[in-house]
Amino acid sequence: MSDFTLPDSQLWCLTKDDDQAAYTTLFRKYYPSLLGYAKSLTDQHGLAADCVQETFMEVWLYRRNLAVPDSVRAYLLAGVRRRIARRLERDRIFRHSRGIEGAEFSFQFTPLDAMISDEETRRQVHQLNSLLNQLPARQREALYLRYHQQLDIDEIARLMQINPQSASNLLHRGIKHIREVWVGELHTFALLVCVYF
Amino acid sequence: MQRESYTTVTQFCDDALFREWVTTGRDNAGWAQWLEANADRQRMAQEARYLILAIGDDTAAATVAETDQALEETWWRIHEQEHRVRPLAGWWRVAAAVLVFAIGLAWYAARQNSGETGIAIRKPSVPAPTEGAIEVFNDSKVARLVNLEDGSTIILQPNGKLSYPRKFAAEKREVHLSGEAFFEVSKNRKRPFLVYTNDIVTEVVGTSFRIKAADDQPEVEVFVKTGEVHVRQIKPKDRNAAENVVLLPNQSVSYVKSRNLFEKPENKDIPKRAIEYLNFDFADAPVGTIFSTLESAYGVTIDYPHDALRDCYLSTSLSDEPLLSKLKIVCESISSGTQFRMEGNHVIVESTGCN
Repeated sequence: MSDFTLPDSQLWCLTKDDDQAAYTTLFRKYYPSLLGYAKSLTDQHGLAADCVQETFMEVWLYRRNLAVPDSVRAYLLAGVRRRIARRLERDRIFRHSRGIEGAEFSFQFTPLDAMISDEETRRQVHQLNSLLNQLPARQREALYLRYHQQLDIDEIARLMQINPQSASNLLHRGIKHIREVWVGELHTFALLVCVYF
Repeated sequence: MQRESYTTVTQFCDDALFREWVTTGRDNAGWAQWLEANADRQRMAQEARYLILAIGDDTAAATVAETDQALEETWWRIHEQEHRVRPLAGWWRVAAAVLVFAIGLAWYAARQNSGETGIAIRKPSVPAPTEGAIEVFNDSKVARLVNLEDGSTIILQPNGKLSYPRKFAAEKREVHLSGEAFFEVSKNRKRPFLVYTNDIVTEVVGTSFRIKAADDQPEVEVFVKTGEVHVRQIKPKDRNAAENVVLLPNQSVSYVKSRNLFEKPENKDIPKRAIEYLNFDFADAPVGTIFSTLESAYGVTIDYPHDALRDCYLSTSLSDEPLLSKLKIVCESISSGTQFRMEGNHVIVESTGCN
């Protein structure tokens, strides 16, 4: 039963029927990546882990009343984001710290060096990477949700509480911006010789 | 195929098979060959490749062990949540009344309809005592004190048998009991303490309680002195019907072996042993009195320099601590130079006097 290959919807249905093994499988499958997202939203790592656990607790405690979500991943990510927002909001009121509006998505993209074999690719990729990491927080969050968490535009929109067009804009503006800067530099360095791989 | 119509870098980036090829090298869609044949797309694909490599992939924020630790903690928190009792400050009278009513109701419900009670948090299995386990059988006529490696104390009554590992597992502390024993468990939220008897398992974080599980008796009794204790069957007939009883201080429960169910003990005034009712609260008490109280409660003898400690008085509350912690607190309170060591049931205190 602790079979990662079962589709999420089936694991969710089994969980609704009190199947602890199915619940455990979902937990093991999503905990690390949810924790990564949570840590990007707050630098209090204890709070991050706490919010991920509470999201999972809620799934078990209210399993009988929960509908099967279209995407379990998107559902869990939204739960984590909501909890962190709530906790930070509470802190903001009591301790005058910043709520989620002020909480910047702090995730830094790391280039996939393992798949780079030549110096030229490394130079280009690292240049792009530093441009990516300079993007505004919301654009970075949208790119992270799209390419690290594999969410689609509608899911990103629901999660970030914006309309799908805005989500799409965030993604495209981010990519467009770095491409413009990057291509500009390509011209400068006259590196348009296209040797493929 | 769709890629024939790609006109933007983003379309390549959004193609799961393309991403797979770039990030893992697995070319299930024949991209290398396709780009050979579609030279006009090479620039675009190259740019998309750079982008994907620059974005990186989802690196795990937790190891397998960390994930399992978090899972364990989550089950524990779920368990706590399912049985939470919240007294309201200022409304304590009402709260107490509601609590008494609720406990009564819960009992009634549990007895009427065992099929709808809580779900056991884990399917409890009975791990056999592991190799290298220490077995203690008390064949004497008096209680015997057992100190565990984590600082917990167990008072094993005559004819009781206890087995426990030399060193507890990292994530939980498990002991096996037959007969009667009183437990004072050192607090460690991350390592639940589990007592297995033939039929039930009793789980705590840090607290004191008594279990009476003689093989020749029809019932197993659990009585709680301090803290919160969870008791459940080891082999429920139906896993959905597994009963899970939560006990608070001064509550007790009987497990009737023949009927596989929990009951309120018929005998409401179970004779208690000294250790079970003593509260170990001392106000300005002579150290000698404190030591003799500990001696009679734990069945140990304590050797201390009477003259040096004659005029030493202490105020302290030791109710929720295992014996070793109690001794440590008392010795530290006397003076920084006061030390103790244990030799079996014998405690030796060395001191030059109090501050």
